[in-house]
Amino acid sequence: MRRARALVVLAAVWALARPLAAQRAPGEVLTRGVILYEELQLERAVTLLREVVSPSSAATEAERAQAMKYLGAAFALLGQRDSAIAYFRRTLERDPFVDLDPAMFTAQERQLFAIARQRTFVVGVRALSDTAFVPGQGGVSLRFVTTQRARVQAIVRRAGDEAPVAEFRWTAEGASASPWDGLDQKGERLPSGRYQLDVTATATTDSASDTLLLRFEVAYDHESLEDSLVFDATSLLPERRPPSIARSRLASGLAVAAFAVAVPSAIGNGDLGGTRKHALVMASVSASGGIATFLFLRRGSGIPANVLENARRREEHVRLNREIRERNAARLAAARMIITPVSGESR
Amino acid sequence: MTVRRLGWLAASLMCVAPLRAQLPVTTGVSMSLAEHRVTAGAGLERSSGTMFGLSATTVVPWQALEARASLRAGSLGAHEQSAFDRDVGEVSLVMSLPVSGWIALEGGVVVRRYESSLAAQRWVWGEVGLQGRHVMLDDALRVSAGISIMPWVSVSGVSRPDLAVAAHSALGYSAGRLTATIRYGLERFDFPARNQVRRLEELSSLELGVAWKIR
Repeated sequence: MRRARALVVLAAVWALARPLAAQRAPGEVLTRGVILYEELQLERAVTLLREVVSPSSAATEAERAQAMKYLGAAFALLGQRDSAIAYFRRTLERDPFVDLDPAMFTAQERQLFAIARQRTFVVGVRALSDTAFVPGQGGVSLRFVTTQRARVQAIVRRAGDEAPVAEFRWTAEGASASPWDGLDQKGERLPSGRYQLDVTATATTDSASDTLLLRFEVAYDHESLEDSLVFDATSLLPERRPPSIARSRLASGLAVAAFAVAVPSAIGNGDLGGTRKHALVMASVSASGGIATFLFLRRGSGIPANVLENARRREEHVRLNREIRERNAARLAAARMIITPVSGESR
Repeated sequence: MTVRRLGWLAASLMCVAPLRAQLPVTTGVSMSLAEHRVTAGAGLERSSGTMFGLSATTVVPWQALEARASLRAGSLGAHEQSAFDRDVGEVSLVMSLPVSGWIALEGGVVVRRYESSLAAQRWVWGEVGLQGRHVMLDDALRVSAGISIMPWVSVSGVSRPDLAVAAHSALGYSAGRLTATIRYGLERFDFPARNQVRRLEELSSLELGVAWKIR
C-alpha cells in the first residue's frame, strides 16, 4: 500500500516537472547553454540551444540569433562542419552584425563562420543608440553592414508616402557608416515624424541581392524654445483724446476768465475805482484759449506724444519677438537629430 | 566781516556751479501795462505807463521747486495835473512749490522803488500764496490763477498796511523752446488811517512776455 502511494506521488511530481521544465524562460536556457558550451559540454549545450531556437520557443529574435551562433560554434568544435556553417548562416540571416570575437572563439570556429559569411549575402542596418547629431554636419546615426562587398542603395520615405525624401548609394563591405547627412534632397531638415528606410544591397561578385526595411522616428533635441510675446494692447496709451475732455478744458479757460473778471471787484479796493481793462483783456484771452482748446479737442485730435510712445512700444515688441525668433532659429539650427527605430532593429 | 562775506560767496558759488550745468534755465523779456492808483487824503492820484522787464526761471531738482527772478522798470505818467510822474523799478524773487498737479504754493520777496521829482519811496514785502494751474493742451497751453497775501510789508515813510493782498491770472502758450505769456496782476495795499486819513494803493498790470528755454 505504501509502495503504491509512493509511486503515485512520484508520477505526479514527474508529470508536473516536465511542463515546468518546458516553461523555463528562453533567456535562462540560453544562458545555461552558453555556460555549457564554454565548459565544453557541447552535447548538453546543443540540446539546450536547440530548445531556444525551436519554433515553439518564446525566445526573441536576438536570443534565437545568439543561440544559433553558439550552435554553429558548438558544431564546429564537434567537427560537424556543415551543421556549423548552416547555423552560422542562419545566424547571419537573422543578424548580419554578428561576428565571432577572437578572444572567445577558436580559429576553427571563425574559419567556418567566414565561410558562412561568404555563402550568405545579407544587408543589415542598425540605429546607434545615444548618437544624436546635427543634420548637415555629419552622418546619420545609422550603421549598415553587408556580409560581402556590395552596392547599397538606401531610400528614405515619409511613412505612408511613396515619394523619396532622400536617396543615397555607396559601396560597402562589412560594416559601414551611412553617407546620409540627415538632410532631404533639398538640403533641408526632415520634419519630425515617422519614416521608413528601404535598403537594397547587391553583391558585386555574384549579383546576389538583399533588401530590408527600417521604420524609424525622427526627433530633434534642442534647447527649449522661447514663446513669442503677445502684444498687450492695454499697454498702449490713448492716441486720441476723448471728446469729453474738451468740455473740461473749456471750463478751465472760462474759470480763469471769470477769476480775472472777479479780481478787480473781489481784490481791488472799490474806493479807488481801479481799472478793469487789464482784467477784461486777461479774461478775453483766457476765455478765447478755453474756446479754442474746446474746438480743437472736440474734433478728437490725436496725442502726438502718445502716438510716438505707442509706436516705440510696438517697435520694441516687434524687436523682442524678432530676437526671440532669431534665438529659436539658432537653437533649431543647432538641434540634434535623433533616430529611433520604431520596431526594434531591423535587418 | 569782508572775509566772512567772501567765504559765503565762495561757498555759494561752489554749490551753484555744479547745478548750473544741470538746471533748466528759461529767460524772458516782458512788457507791462501798469496802472497805479493811490489816495492819501489829497484825492485820487492815477498814473499809468509801461514797464519793461527781464526774467530768469529755473527748476530745482528738489521737489520740482521753480524759482523765478525778475526785474521790471518803467515810468508811470500822472493822469492828474496835481500829481507827479514817477519811475518804478522792481526786483522780485518768487519760488513756486507744486503740491499737486493743480496746486502750487508760492512765496517770494519783492523790492520796489517809486521815484518822482518830489520824493522816492522803497517798498519791500514778502508774499505767500496759492496758485492753481491747469494744462489745457498738452504742454502747449497752460492757464493759472492765484491769490497771495503779503504778511510782511515795509514801506519807507509809511506804517505797515493792515491789508496787503494780490491776485493774478496767466495764460502761456509754448511752441518748442519759446513760450509767450500774458499775465494779469492786481496788488492792493490798505494802510491804517493816520490823522483820519487812510492811504490806499493799488497797482494793476497786464504783462506780455516772451521766454526762451535755454536748456
